[in-house]
Amino acid sequence: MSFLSLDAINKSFAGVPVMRDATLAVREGEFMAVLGPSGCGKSTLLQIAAGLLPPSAGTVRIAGRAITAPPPEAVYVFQQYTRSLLPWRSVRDNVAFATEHRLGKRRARAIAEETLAQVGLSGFGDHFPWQLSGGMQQRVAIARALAAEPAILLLDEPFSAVDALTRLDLHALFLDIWSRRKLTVMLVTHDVEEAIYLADRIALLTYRPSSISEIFEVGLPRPRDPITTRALPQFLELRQTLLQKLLARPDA
Amino acid sequence: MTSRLRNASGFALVLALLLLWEVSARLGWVASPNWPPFTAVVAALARDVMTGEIPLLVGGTLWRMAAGLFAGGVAGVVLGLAFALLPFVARLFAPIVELLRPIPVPAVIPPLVLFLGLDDTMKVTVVALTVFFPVLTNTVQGVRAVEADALAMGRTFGIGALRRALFIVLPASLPYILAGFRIALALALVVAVVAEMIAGEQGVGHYLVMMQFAGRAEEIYATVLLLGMLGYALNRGFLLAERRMIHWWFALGRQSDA
Ligand SMILES: Nc1ncnc2c1ncn2[C@@H]1O[C@H](COP(=O)(O)OP(=O)(O)OP(=O)(O)O)[C@@H](O)[C@H]1O
Ligand SMILES: [Mg+2]
Repeated sequence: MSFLSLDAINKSFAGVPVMRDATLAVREGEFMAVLGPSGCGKSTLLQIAAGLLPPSAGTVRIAGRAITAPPPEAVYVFQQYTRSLLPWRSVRDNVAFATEHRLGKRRARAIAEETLAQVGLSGFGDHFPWQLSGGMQQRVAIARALAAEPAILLLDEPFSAVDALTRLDLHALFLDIWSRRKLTVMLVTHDVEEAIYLADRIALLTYRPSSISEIFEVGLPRPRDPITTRALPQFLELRQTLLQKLLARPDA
Repeated sequence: MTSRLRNASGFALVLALLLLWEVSARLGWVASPNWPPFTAVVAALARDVMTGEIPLLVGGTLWRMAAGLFAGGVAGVVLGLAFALLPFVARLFAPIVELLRPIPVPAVIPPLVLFLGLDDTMKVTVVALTVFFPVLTNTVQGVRAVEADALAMGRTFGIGALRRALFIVLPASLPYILAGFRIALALALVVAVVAEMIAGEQGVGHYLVMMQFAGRAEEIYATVLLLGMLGYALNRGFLLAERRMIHWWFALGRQSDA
């Protein structure tokens, strides 16, 4: 049964269509990746799924309920962590910001310490975001999202702004959290290997006006390993197929 | 090292000018009873401070300035936030603001006297009007510079509009708001003194005019000197407070044109 569904989503900016009839259904507990080239509308699609951007036409449903505003079940993690972290708040208070309006400051701070420990940042609560490295700041953003205990996480290329090694590190951390918390995840990315390595299924987004053209079942065994999984014939085969599809698209 | 030398050279120029003042008066280069030597002015200042007269006058002026700064500043920030966040407020008030802004504040003192009298109410209002516009403009500017992602972050966590305004928009635009206050602070002292000079019998401004009529040159220069030092101290104090309040802004490498 689909938990998050996008039904015939259309979106135009100032009359220019960027998305046409994008349809996608994500099952509960599933890790869904949406793969597409830069500028094809990945962030737009995800923000529509998050209730942050109204579609021009079409419906977003979460647990069968049509949504028009950000739903309590879902949290959106931004492409650029530097813009969504609040520089005047300490790391702890940034994470607490996700829950303090519901739970009060004390409870929110206690939860913040717990989630910071989960992403390997215990002891950094009193630092300010700008005192941390890019990878650490992205962990803060992830901790903040986790602190809200969402059922659905919508990830907008959260691993793209960090270096390659940090990215592998964050992948491992994230897969661990995903399996322990039984989250439903929709990740948009332009990185083919990242999509295959992380996801259960991969949806391919065509170029503008974009829609979901095909969905691929990854089918690689879990738990996955950053080195051996990437060397499996299945991985390489899927990587080749997806790259061919991405590169073969007609130029606009 | 070089910057310390440069600071020292600036300070040396001040000393040299004061010395020139002293010498020019003592040696009669400027032959006028209205050109007392610097040391005599300092002595007059010390004398008037000791009697308690000057501190009382300055205290009154500062109090009116602070009250106006507070009233005009709060109004500027609140209306600035409303302007930037609520389109209908902007549509309603923008024309009035744009028409009132260019009016030189001293020009509204006479009509204000008719309505509010000569005393505190009028003067505080004049200062508040002066402060209001730069704070309003800078607040609107600051709100426009808030990261769209930071606001969307608030929404994705289900944080309501008022809380977003108070905990995201307000702190994020604080550097701009404070820059507005720094401009307003300098203007507020000027306007408070001007208002006292024009109307009523209060404060340093009125004292200055009286001394002028009495031909007491030493007292006049002493008061001007004091106002200069006061303005300098207020600005320094403000910059220090600013460094503490928005330390994160400076840490991010943003510059304040101090
Ligand atoms: N607010 C907006 N106004 C006008 N056009 C927009 C707006 N937001 C996005 N677009 C356009 O929609 C298209 C899709 O943008 P979007 O940010 O969703 O792409 P993306 O796939 O996330 O890109 P990237 O990989 O660079 O993050 C782009 O061509 C962009 O110019
Ligand atoms: Mg994007």
